[in-house]
Amino acid sequence: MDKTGTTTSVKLKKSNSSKTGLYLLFAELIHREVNPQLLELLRQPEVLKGFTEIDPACADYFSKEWSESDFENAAVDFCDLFILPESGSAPRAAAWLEIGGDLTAEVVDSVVTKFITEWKIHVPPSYQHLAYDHLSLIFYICVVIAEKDEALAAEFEAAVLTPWAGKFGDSLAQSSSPLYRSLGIMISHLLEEVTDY
Amino acid sequence: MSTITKRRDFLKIGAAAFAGGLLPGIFTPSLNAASNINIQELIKGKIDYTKAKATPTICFGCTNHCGVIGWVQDGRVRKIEGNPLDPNSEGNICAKAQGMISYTYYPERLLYPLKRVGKRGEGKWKRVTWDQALDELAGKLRPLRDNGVPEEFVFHYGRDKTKGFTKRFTNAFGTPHRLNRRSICSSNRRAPLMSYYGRDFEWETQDLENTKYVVNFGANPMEAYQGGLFMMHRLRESQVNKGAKMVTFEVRPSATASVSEEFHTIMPGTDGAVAFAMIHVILKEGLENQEFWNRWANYPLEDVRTLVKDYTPEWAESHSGIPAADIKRIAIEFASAAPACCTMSNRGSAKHYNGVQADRAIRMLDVLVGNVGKPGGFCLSSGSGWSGKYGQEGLPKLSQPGPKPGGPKPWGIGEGFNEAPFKKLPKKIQDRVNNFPDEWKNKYFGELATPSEFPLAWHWYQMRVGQLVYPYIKEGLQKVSVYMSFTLGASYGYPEANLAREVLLDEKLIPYHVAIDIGYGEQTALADLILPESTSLERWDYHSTNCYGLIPYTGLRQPLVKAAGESLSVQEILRDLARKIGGGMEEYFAMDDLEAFYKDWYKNLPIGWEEFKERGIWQDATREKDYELYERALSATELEDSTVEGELVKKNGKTIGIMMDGKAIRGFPTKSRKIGVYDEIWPIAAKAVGLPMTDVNASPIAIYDTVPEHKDLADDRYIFSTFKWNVHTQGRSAHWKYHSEIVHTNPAFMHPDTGKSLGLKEGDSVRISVFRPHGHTYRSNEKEIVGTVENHVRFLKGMHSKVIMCSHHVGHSEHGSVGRAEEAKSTPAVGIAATPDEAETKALKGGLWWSKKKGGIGGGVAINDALPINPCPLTGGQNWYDNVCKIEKI
Repeated sequence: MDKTGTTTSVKLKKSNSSKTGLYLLFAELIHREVNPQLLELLRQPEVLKGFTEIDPACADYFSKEWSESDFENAAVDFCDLFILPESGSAPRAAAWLEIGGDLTAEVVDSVVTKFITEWKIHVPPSYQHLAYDHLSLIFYICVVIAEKDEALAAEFEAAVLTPWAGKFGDSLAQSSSPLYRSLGIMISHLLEEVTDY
Repeated sequence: MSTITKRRDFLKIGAAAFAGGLLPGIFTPSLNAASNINIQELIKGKIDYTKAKATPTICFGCTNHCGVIGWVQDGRVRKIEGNPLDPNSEGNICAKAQGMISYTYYPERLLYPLKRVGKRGEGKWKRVTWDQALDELAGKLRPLRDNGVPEEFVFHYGRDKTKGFTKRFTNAFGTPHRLNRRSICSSNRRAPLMSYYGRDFEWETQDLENTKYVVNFGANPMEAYQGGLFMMHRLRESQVNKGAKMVTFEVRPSATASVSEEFHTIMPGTDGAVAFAMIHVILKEGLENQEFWNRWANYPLEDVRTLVKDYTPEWAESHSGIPAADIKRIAIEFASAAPACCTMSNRGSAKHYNGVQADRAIRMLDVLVGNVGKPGGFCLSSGSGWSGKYGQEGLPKLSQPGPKPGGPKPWGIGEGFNEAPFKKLPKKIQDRVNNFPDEWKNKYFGELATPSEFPLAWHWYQMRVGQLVYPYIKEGLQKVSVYMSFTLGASYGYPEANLAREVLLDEKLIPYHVAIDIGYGEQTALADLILPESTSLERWDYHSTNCYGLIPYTGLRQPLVKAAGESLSVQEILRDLARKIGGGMEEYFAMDDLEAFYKDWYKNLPIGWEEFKERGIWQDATREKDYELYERALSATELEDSTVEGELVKKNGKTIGIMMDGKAIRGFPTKSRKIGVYDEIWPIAAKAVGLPMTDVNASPIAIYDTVPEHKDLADDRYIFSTFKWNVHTQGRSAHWKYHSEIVHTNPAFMHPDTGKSLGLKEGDSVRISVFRPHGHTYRSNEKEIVGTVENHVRFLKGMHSKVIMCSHHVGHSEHGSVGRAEEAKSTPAVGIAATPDEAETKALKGGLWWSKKKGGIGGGVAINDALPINPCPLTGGQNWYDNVCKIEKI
């Protein structure tokens, strides 16, 4: 934000563009239903190609003419996967860390909140109602930290993301929706790798 | 599907998405990135009490509503402690208080408004914005007001502690249908109390700090009781340090029984017999307090002697199974301890066909020994709603800020009545209501709100008969266009819950169902629109209740953290909805700032708002305790312009006191200003609804009669009863993970001898089939079985041999992974198959070691489909514990 409180977009470090782009894409796809803007993004040739390589069904799914009912069906998928109980793919640390281990969702909350408040991170409006342990918010904070301090970002990621998000990805990869199935595969594999910026 | 395993392959997607230029637009850099944050320190997860903020609020874990302190660190509630300033709990809390953290942060909580997409109950939803949700809902509601049929909007709540805010909405809308579940819970014990002591005393407040002897008829304050925690920490102190004694009559060895000095296993529905036998003994032994009785009871003592002449201990033993010698001894001990003795009763005595009369007999015991209002005795403390009513003299008046809408007109014929909906009722009902006394006619609002067959459900105040709402809708007694459930679990927790589900699934009967709730339970699953509610840790509420320290106090529920997701408090939801509906409703909902609204509500407190927020509680500790309120003189101000008519002191048409020994004193807040041991309201009501005068419920004085279906109970018939555990709260807590870890199943408990007689061994499976009740009640005497429950048996010494008992709380078909103990995915709309592998990989489920998938015992069985709707005549209180059943080995 500038001094008047107006949000301004900025250029991100080009060197981080691949991972930054992926994390922001994940964040967008996990926190909101497919809408015409997101669909436009998914239809960009390189994005479409990438998704299709992961799951060929994405080609038709992204490229078809989307009717109102297609958007509604996608919204139902989104709700079933990410909002309703027992989806098997709740995008919140609390669904995965509650039992056992040293890390709890409470701790994830603490770390995320600390960065938001002390770094005065401006969270996009549509992220403001997300729980602090929501994956989209965590991906977003990762990108913000990485812009300033890549080592700290890696530490943040290792502390609050990798302990559970891979399992989330594995579970999401079982979805019947080509979009979310692909998304699950990407998240799962990305977080299996050593994280580095 | 091809599989890409190399990270760099899909990193290209990120680069492409980034290059596409859409994503950077959402990004804003940190403004203070220089700040050092030690992640490794944070992930240790310790509360730092030097940084955490302690804020008092009021627990919502159960009906006690204890003052608590929440420790908030980094925007999250980390710990709940008791608030020592709360004069009820005195800093004590129970496991359910910690449940507030569970239900605030559990990951399957509802956080967004949802709109149904598929068929109702199919489980397909999509997220909508609040504007979309409320626009749609207002679009359904507005025409009802515009077309003059606001009564077609039905608001039905499970637990509403907004102290009138929801009523503000229904009144502004113009519907009388603000339904509750009082009959499910406590109307059978409230009605006798109000009959005895008046409308202002719907709940007694025993002085357990100073008592020497307690006789407990089936109450279970150690586990589930309104005020249980407040009572038991006082009583335990008295027992351990002062030698107080508690005698408990119960059908099972409850937690309360376990801390009693004596526990007697009693035949269900016979508490009244024991109470009468105790009265018999006390009179025979000359231990009654004649002075108190003659001064305050409205019935001659000699007539009581006649009444109980045949209610001997031996007679009571033949009904209850309690040895006559014990009854005699307990009666003598009880009376000898007077006035520092008291009775205690609740559902165990009251939730029977004869339960109202049982409780009236139990109340008579207290009057007989003269312990009413005395130190250590059966006291009355009017703490709820500081409106200046009886017992609240001198307290600051606390009133919901205005402007407040008036209520709807009563239904009937003539000036001042709402004739249109009345004329739609069946002629039989119109005739019945037309013959009611004027007092009732002015309180009649149709069959859902004020069922005419149960006038004592609404004679004192609106207790409703919740379990009849769905049958009545099905029978067409009220057209419903919009039905709003608020924290209601009728589809799981009401008797014949399957009927509730059937009605809620029928879009002809209920065209539109909106549910306001925190979790996705059986009720919300059958909605068309779900509005997510914030939890008690996230919202404001006014709080006051009766105080077991006998000095009234008030408390504040205040938000400790911002509401999660897009959830809103019910006050915000109804405010915003009223504004959308418009048509004048918005005038009553101008409170943009809810904190300012509550500050205004408490404006008459003698301390400032900020201090009140810091303390969470206000009480004038110098105020005289509520002993013998009835003996207090009326003040000169009160007597100004008053008149004396007979022995009653009246002012502005209202009775305010009674002349005793030439002095004007308060007396009790009954019509006679005396204790209503004898009350004509019972036969008046019986006559009005055609209940035979021979029915036990028609008697103006307490009498005993065996529960109809228990008469001549065959050897192969048993009584199916239920109970509650101390870590759960009705059906609302099944998804509280750590509580369900403690109690997650509900085996059928029975005495080992019962098992032996049935050829059962521990762990065997049985089928329990429940019959309809007898007597004058819903579908009585029908022959078919209401429903069956299949369960495994556990043997428990101390159970009554004719009783089989399962707990409430568990056996859910919804309420998420924990609530259902992952029995099966119930609403697979799309997406992921519920495979065993999937269950293993998800940690939330991974911890459900009791699930059958993991070789555990499972999540219990639903019992309420098999329990008959069984409203007590006149009051409508559900007779939960009369159910006759047969038991078969599977």
